[in-house]
Amino acid sequence: MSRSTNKDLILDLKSVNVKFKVEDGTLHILRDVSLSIPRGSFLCVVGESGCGKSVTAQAIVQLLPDNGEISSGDILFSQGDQVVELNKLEKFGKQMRDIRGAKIGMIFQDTLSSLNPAHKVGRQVAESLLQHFPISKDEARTRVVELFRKLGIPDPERRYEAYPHEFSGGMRQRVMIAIATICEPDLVIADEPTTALDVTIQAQIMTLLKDLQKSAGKTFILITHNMALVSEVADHVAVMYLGRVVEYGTVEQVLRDPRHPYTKALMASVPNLDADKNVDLQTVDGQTPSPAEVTVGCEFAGRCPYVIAACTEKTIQMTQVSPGHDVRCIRLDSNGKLPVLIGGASNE
Amino acid sequence: MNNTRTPLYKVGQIKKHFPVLGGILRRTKGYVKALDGVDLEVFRGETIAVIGESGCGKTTLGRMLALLDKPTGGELSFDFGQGLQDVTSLRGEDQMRFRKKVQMIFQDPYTSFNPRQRVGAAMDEVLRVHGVTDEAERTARILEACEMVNIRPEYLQRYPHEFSGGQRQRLAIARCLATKPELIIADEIVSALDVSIQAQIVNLLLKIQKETGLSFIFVTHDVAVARYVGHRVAVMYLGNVVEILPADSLPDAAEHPYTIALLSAVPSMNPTAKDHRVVLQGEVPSPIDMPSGCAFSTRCPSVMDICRTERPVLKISNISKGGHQVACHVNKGA
Repeated sequence: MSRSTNKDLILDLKSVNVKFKVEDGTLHILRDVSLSIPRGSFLCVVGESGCGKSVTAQAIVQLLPDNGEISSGDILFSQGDQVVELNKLEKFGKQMRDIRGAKIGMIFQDTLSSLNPAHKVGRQVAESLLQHFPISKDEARTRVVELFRKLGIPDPERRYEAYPHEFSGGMRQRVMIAIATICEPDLVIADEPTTALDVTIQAQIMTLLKDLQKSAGKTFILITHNMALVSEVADHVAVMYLGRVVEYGTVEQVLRDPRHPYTKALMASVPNLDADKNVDLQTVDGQTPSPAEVTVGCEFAGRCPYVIAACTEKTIQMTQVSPGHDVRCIRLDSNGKLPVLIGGASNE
Repeated sequence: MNNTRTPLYKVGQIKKHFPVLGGILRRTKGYVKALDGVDLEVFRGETIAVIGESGCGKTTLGRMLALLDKPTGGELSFDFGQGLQDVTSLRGEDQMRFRKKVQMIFQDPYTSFNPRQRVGAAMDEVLRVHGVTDEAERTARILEACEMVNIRPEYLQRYPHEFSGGQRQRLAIARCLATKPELIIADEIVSALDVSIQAQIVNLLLKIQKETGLSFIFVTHDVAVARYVGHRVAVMYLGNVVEILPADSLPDAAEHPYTIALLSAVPSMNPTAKDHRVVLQGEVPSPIDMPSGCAFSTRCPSVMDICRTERPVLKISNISKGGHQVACHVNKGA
């Protein structure tokens, strides 16, 4: 899949670097992030806080905070036969505004702060339609009500007139999904859309997103920290650590057969309903360093049980362990296996 | 549970109804039934994990048990060493004696430390409040607690903002341990942490329990964490405990339709789990206007006529018996 030609790719990130200006210098937040996303697929970007997963989403739609900028790399978005270089477009120029919302939909975690509390929700959904299409207000209203119904919002005509605070968290997230999909975008980026929701509501929302992918052929990028959720919805997975993609592959490849020491550790630290209770959860010593602390070599070296001197000397390149499965680690042997550690830190 | 053992803490039919005020005269219009008759027994050295979704009353239950809020009805009795004794009426010094034995840890360790106070001083203050007058003893206790949670003694001179979330949570645990409590109520203490850090804290709690024999009430929304840390798991829905079962028997032994639905909604790494998913329809009803009969009857996939009129009570399960209790009309009791 990853070898597909450019035509099948809806989005292609090539060595994207993002830097943030801070008081005492610059922070290198995204480090050579390359991701090729086939049309109609469901990609999950996973990692812990500070790994750059949300910044990746912001960079794609050019919504980085004011002190952040894409310092190098290309973001190619294909629209029909045309390929647009998103990173070359002016941040708030007409072209970017036409893409944002209409061609690329976005769903954020915190629904209460993404919706305007003073406006009726129906109007906020319709606003997006009116912005991008030459249609009348009545027509927009009809389409919003129709979408509300499709998304399982009960009593859609009445709910159109309601304010955000009158909705529950799960219903507000449905409104956000409505805003993101009302213009029928080809690509939807969802940043932790269900993190603030209960599991039973999370299950409803994820079923909804998965249906949109399957029935409407939309492409999804889901940003999450929940590995189990990834295993249920994703086709492809990118694992990020401190601004770098450390492992990429299909769900089966990455979650059933993780190769990078960080992916392995992440998987082993998640308590699972089927796991043996009497085995201690595996932990990763220490904590994620600040991007200022690691400037050369493998970002995970400071916490990795497999570390050797060479790990910290130069940037580690991605290597292919099997078709479509790439891992950024020099400790893998020719079969793509990590060495056996004395003391049994490996969970194999 | 063995009947000859007496519980450390016994909760009997505890209720918390918050009044809803309305109109210009601010008259009571109704009540939010945050807790509507909860029974629970905590034994020495045991961890009870309380799970449920937002609004089910799990945090309110934790706060009641720590006497941070007054229950509107029911009994709370604690064993100080001479058998169970009512604690809701304790005042002054007697209440302080209880607070020393029962400590609470909160979700956000950043807001539970004073940002302008060094963490060592914050811990010292707790001990002074609890009447440890000897300075040398206070220091010794703080150092001992820090060792248990792997915090270096020199860190005590730092301010809360100098720590990561995981470290702050460990400090909050150390602050609790310093008073030598017998029961710790932990409210969502790992929810805000990354999974690798969450695993550190969970392993730490299990280790502390092994070493000290403390009891824990571990309130969480994460079913997998609950199963991992708890000896028993209490499942709450809309102010009621609907099922109590041994953690080891999860997920297979769950009997209450809500527990089954909750478990099946948890995303799983197991590829076959998706096949028997129960997706619940609708949302949790408002606790102001509770369904009559079983609180779950409006969403239950196996609802019967009796469920809409009569509220089921917790009874020992007629299938797995033992320490397994279910509040469902399907269960006739052993």
